[in-house]
Amino acid sequence: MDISILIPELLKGLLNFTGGNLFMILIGSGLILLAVKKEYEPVLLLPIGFGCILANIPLTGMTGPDGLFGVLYRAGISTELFPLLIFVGIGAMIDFSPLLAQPKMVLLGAAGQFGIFGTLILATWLGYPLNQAASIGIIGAIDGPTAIFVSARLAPELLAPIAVAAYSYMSLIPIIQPPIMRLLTTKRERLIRMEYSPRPVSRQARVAFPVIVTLVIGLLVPEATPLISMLMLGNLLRESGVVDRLSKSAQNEIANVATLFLGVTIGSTMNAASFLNLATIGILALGLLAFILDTVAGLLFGKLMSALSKGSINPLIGAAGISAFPMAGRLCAKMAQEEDFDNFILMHAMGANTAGQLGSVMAGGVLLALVTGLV
Amino acid sequence: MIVKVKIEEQIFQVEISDLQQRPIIAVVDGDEFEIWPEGEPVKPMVEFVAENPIKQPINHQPVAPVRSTSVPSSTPKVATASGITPSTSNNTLLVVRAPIPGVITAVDVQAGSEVSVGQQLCVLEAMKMNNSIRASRAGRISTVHVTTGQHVKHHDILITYAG
Repeated sequence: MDISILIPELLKGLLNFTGGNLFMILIGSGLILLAVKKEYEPVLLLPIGFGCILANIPLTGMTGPDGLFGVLYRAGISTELFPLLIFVGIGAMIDFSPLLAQPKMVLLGAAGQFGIFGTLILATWLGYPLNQAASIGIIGAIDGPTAIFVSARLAPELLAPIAVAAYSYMSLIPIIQPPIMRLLTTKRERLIRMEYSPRPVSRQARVAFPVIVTLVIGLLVPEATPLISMLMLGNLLRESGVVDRLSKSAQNEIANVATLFLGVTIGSTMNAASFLNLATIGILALGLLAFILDTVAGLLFGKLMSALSKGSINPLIGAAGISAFPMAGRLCAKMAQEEDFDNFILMHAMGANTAGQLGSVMAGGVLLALVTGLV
Repeated sequence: MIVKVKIEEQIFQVEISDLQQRPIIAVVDGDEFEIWPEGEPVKPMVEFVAENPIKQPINHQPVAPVRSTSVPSSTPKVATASGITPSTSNNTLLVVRAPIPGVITAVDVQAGSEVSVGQQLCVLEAMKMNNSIRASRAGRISTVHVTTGQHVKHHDILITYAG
């Protein structure tokens, strides 16, 4: 037997290893480090980071059509199953009563979607085809499942960078949003106290809400129906009060299993050959811009509402209108408390935040309708 | 607004049109009196309106005791009031109420604790977020009304100060 033939066979993993692979493994490790050390969205960044590392080990066959990631991708990402299952869980976690008690917050949830469309227009100017531009714009919602849902349908070739952008920006909310919030609001505005004066929300209203929202949005924006209906199914499980077991499963087991597989599969799409190019950098930059524009639009609309209400609305809650539930809402509450520890705007911020969640799903549906209609 | 004032077992009906006006015009048994509260400015009262928009029981309104009721006269009299005593308006600051509904996840003080402004009294979890309830005034805690794990509704009393 000739040893000289065996050696390359034994070392083929190393021989196929490229600088790009090394770089991507460092990125994957960086994501894991962020998750472990900083606890930035660890539930997502940990599996994404590990998937990224695995995808850059040559010749494993894991990302091939019959490999683990190939199977998971076809089963859960291209069919959009995983984001939808996660939405059942998110729906079961969301308490819409702050929104039901303060319906005017819907306006902030709508304003917070401006960045999606602003970035779409900008990206088409920059030469991206409409389907890609729409997928990039949806990053602005900072809602991972919606971004994956939309881009898997419109531009699957950009799925990896879009999902990574959506999830990592979500984890960077506490870094990206506060400077914008401070820049656009005055101290006096941030100090505005909002008395929590809930109008009582009856059980009937809370149970009827998910059914009515599904019907209304489903009929208005049919493309948004898969997402909104699963979100509302989860919410119905929660609010009905009679299927506590199902509600708990949706919040925990179903959401966790789907998140794990979604994360690791998205990570596995981050191989050096397809991820390391200028398009990715462009997507990350435009996605960040979409996020910033959404925040700015939400804050400006918050200021408008504040002015119209003669200063009884703290404009900070506008920043929660972007979706990114519940991080953005909590951040607004924290910002207000940093100025005045006795100021609790959490429920108002959560009203705007849940409205933003609905708004971004609708925006995703509108994008799907527009783009599939135009392309 | 009509306030009942009891002076030495005798009850007077005092009608006051505007508490913010200076002098306060009070009508007692058909006689008009001008009242200048001592200890102006009346900031504490304005503050407690902002703190707590819930209507106070009417006898809590800082109404100046009227001394000149024994001298009926058709011309307005100037009555000096003992001012707005801190005790009346401070009653609202003596209690710490839940700003939002949620669950108490930690209680950091107990009866008898001395607290300073900004010190954390307890933690209220709402919407999966821990909200630190801090002391807006210094003082000694008289009663802690909540325990860890307790669900509280909006405006429930959490903690009472001794004074």
